[in-house]
Amino acid sequence: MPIFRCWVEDSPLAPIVHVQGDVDLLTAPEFRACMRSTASSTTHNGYVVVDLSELEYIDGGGLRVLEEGAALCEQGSRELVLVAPPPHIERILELVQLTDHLPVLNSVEALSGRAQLNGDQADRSGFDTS
Amino acid sequence: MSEHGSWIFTIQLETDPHVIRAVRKVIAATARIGGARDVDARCIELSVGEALANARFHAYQNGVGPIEATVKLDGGMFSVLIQNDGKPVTSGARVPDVLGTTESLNWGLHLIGRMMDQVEITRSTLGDHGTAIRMSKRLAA
Repeated sequence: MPIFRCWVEDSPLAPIVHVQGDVDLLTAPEFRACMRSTASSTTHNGYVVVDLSELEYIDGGGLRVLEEGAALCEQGSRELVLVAPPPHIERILELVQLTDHLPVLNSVEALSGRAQLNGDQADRSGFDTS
Repeated sequence: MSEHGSWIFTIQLETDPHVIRAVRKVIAATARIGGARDVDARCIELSVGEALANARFHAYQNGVGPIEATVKLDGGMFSVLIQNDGKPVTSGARVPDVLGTTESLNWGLHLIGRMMDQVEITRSTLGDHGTAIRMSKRLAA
């Protein structure tokens, strides 16, 4: 596995930021640039997904990139969703309480269920207020 | 002496990001050699990385400066002492037990406190100004 790789997949449901390897002092700037461009893009509505399944290491700087990305998404009325963090990464996310306000899903596929659920809730909300 | 053995060595380095990456990986590998489980070695790696990043950002104002890292295995206790000779900590440094919602700048120390079993922040013996952080983790038998 390379020490770091970050790229964006333009899937039909949401843009997916894949991050692989180590996010540290050397690679956080590239991760930040990738997250900022994706989270501030107006091409997609709904979600921005970060696939953490191949993340080996993330330090405080990398965690702040996720926090900033979530804030950018929120400004655009979108939601940042974290997917498939390995157990040692999920523990770090929990320790800094990112999992308290960012959803963590087991797989990208699980997002379609979440989108369906939220869509249903939005429909019900629209029905209730009409 | 336990099955882990007892030894000590010291590394002198600078707070260059490439060096910080190499040293955190070397110390994690050393912990594994000393008997650390993967989960413990990852905790040690993150703690060392955060301590070195803190030294770079705070003691050397995002620049390069000298560090001395002393790695010790004493029975089942693995400890790392990281000392800098940079700008002193302005107030009594402590490891935060809990985080507020907007305290991401404290994440490094908070993570170290949660990842390691003992953390002590003191004055460095490298010079007149710097800070030392000693982080210890008991390795599973």
